[in-house]
Amino acid sequence: MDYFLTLLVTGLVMGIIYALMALGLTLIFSILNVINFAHGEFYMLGGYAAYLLLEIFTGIHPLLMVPVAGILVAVLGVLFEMVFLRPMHEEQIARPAEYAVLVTFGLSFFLQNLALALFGPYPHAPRSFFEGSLRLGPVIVSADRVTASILSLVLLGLLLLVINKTWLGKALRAVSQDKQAAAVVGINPHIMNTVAFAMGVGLAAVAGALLAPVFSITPDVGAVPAIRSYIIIVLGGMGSIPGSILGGLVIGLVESFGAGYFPDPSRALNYKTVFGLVIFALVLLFRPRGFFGRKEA
Amino acid sequence: MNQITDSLRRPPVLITLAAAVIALILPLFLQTYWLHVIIIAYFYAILASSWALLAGYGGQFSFGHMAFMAIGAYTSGLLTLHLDIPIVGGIILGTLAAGVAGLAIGALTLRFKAAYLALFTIAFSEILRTLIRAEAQITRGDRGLRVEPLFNSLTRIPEYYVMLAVLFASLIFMYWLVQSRVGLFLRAVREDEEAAAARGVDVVRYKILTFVLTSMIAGLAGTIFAHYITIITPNIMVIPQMGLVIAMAIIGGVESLVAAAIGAVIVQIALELLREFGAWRLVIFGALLVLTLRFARDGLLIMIFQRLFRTGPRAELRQSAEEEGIRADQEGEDELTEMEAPLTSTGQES
Amino acid sequence: MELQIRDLTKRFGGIVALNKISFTLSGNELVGLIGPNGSGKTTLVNTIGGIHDPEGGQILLNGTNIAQMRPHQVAQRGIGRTFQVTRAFRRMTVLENLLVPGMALAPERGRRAWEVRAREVLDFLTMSHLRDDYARSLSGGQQKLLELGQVMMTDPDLILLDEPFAGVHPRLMETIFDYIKTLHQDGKAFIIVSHDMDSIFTLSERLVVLSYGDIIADGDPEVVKHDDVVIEAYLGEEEEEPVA
Repeated sequence: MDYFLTLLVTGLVMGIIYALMALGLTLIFSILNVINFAHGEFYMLGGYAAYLLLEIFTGIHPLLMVPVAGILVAVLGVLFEMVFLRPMHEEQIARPAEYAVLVTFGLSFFLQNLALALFGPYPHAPRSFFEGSLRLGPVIVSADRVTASILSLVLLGLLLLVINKTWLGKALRAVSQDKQAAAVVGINPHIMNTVAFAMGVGLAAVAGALLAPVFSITPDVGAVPAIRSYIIIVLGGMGSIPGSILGGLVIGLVESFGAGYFPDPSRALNYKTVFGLVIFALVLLFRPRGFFGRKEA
Repeated sequence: MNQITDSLRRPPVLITLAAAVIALILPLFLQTYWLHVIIIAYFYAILASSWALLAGYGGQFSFGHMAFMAIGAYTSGLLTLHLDIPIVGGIILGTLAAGVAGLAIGALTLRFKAAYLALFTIAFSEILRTLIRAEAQITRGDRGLRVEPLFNSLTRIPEYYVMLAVLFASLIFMYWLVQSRVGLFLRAVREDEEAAAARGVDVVRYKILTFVLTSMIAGLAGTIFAHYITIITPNIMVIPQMGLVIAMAIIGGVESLVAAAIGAVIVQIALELLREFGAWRLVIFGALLVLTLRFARDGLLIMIFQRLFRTGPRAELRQSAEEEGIRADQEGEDELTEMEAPLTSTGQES
Repeated sequence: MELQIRDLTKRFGGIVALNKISFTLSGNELVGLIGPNGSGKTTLVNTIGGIHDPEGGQILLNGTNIAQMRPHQVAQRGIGRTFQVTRAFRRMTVLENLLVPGMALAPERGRRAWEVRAREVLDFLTMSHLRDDYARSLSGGQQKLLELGQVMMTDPDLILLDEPFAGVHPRLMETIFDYIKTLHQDGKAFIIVSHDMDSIFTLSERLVVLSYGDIIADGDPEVVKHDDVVIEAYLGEEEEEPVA
C-alpha cells in the first residue's frame, strides 16, 4: 500500500510539471495554430539557462533562477517568433502549415546541436533546490521534485488566473477563437502570437529549469519531454487547457505506475515507450482532437 | 517552357552531365577514406532526393523516411544472416518490405494535415526504433547487427559503383515519374487536393503510390547501406538523422530531385571537410536549414542555379510577371480590373 | 444525359442541409439554382460532385447511382464543376492546369493529343497567349476562365457552376455569359448556382429554388419569380432582394 501511495504521489508530482510544459505547447497551438516541434529544446534551454545562471551567480538560491531562466528563454522565443513565424501570419509564406512544421523542427535541430557544441555531451546539473527528501506519512519523495511540483502548481495557478481574469488572457482567448474578429475589436493578433509563443516556450523552459537538478541536462534531454508533451496534448485535446492539465497528470501517473509495477527492467522500459507511442498513434488516427480538444482550425 | 519551370524541375543539362562524368571517374582520384565519404554521401543523396519527391513534390512531409530505410537494412541484414539467402535476394526483399510499410503508412495518413503527419510518422519511426532495440535477441539491438558484406574489397571501388548505380537508377526513375502524368497529378494534388479530385485525379491512389515508391527507394538505399557498412544499429534511424536528410533536401532544393541529391553530397562532403569544427558543423547546417526555409524556400542550390541562369530578357519578363502575379494575389479583388488589358489586346470587346 | 435526384438528404451533425430533394435534369437543360444564404445550394453541388456523401437518397446519372462516388469518379463520368472561390493549380502553368483533367480522364490518348485539345480550349477562351504562364500570375478573372477551361477539356455532359459571376468585373461577366451560352448550344446541361439575379433570370430556362434544404419552387423563371413562397423566403433574408 505504501508502495502504491508512493507511486501515486510521484506520479502526481511529476504530472504537474508535465502539465506545465504541455500547457505551453497547447497555448502555442491554440493561438498560433502551430505545433512547436522545438518545444523539447526550449525545455533543454531552460535547464542550461538555470545551470549557467547558478554558475555565474553562485550566492543565489537556485529557486530564484528558475523564473529568470524562463524569462531569458522566452526572450529567445520572441526573437524566433518574430523572424521566422510572423511572416507566416502575414501571408508571406506559401503552404504555411508545412513551413511551420519544418521551421520549428529545423530550430530543434539547430538548438540541439548548438547545445552540444557549447556544452558538450556530458550531463550538467545545477545545484539542488533543497537537499534530501520529504516524508509525507508513508510516502517518501525527493525534496527537489516536491519543490518543482509546488512551483509548477503556483505557476499553473497564476497562468489560469491570467488567462481567465486579465485583459491579456481575454485577448489571447479571443485570438484563439477567431483571429479576424479579434483584430476587428482592436487586438493585434501579431502581438498576441508573439506573447503566446513567448509564454509557451517560457513554460517549457521553466519545466526544464525545475527538473534540471533532478535529472541533469544533456543536449538531447528535451526529446523525451517533447514526445511526452505531444502525447499529452493529443490525448487531452489540442488547444484545451484543462485537457493539458488532466493529460499531464494522467501521463505522470501512467509512467509512475508503469515503471513501478513492471519487473523486467530494460525490455519493459522499451515496451513502456512503445505502448505510449502506440496509444498516441492510435489517438491520432481515430480521435485526433483527443478528449477535450476542438476540431482543428 | 519558361525558364523558371525548367530550373525548378529540369536541372540544367550541362551541370547534370558534368556531375555524372565526375562521379564516374572519381575513384581514380580518391583515396579509400574519401571514397567511403562519397559512398555515404550517395546514400544520403538517395534518401534526400526520394524524400524531396514525397515531400516537395507530393506535399507529404513525412518524418518516417529513415524508418523505411531501416526496414530495408534490417530485413536484408536479418534474412541474409538467418535464412542464408543471397544478398541480391535480401536487397529485393528488403526493398519490398519497405514498400509494404510505406503502403500501410501512406494509407493510414491520407487525410492527415502537415503537423499530424509529422507527429504520426515520428511516432512510427520511434516505435520501430524502440522495437528494434527491445528485441535485441533478434536484432542485436544497440550492440549492432553484423551484416554480410557486398564485396570483400579493400579499395571500396566496387561498392562505390554499386551505390552510384543505385543513385543514378533511382534519380532516373524518379525523374521519369515526375515527367510522367504521375508528376502532373502529384503537383496538382499538392496544390489543391479537392480541386485535383474535381478534375478527375484519384488523389488516394497517387498519394499512396508516392509513399510506396519513395519508401521502396529508401528501403533499397537501406539494404545497400547495410551490406556496405556491414554493421547496423537502431541509431541509423534516430530522429536527428531524419533531420539531417531533411536539411540536405531543403538546403539543396526540396522541389528538385537533382538539387536535393547534390545538396546531400555537398553537405556530406562539407561535414567531412569541417570535421575539426566538431559539433559546430551541424549547428551551421541547422542555421542554414532554418534560414533557407525562411529566405530561400526553393532551396539554396536552386537559388544559385536561378541566379546563374536568369540573366536573359525573357527570364526577366517572366520574373516580373511572376512577381506581379504574386502581388496581384495579395491585392485580392482589385486585380479583376486588370482583366481589361488581355481582352482588349486580343480585340474581344463589346 | 439524364440526372435524377431522388430524395437526396444530407446532414451535417444536427443540421439538415438537404431534405429529401428530388428533381430531374435531362438533355441540355440550363437550370438556375437559387435560394437565400444557407439554403443548401453549394451543399447540393458538392454532394452531386462527390465531395459529400449523402445520408439518404440517390443521384442517378444516366441510370447509375453516383451518390456515394468520390469526386474523381464523378468527374470522370462527365460532370464538371467550378468552385465558388476559384481553385486553379497556382504553381502550375495554364497548360498544365488544362492537361490535368484530360490526362486524368484518358491518359491513353497521350499528352500530345491532350495538348492539342488544350490549345482548342485556350483559343475558345482567347487565352492562348497565357499558355505557359503560371496560374497564380493570372488575374482573378483569368483564373475563373481557366477553371472553366479545365471543365471544358473533358467535354462533360453536365456542368455545375458555383457562383460563376461572384465578384466578377462586368465586362468579364458578359464574356462568361457568352461562353456559357455557346457551350449550352453545344448540348451541355448546366446547373448554375448564383446570387446574381439578373444573370440567372436571363440565362436559365428553368429555375430551382432552395430554402433551408427544401425545394420550394421548380419551373419557369417568370413563374417562379412571382411565386409567393419564393418571395417570402427571400424577404426573410436581409441582404437579398428578389427581382421585383
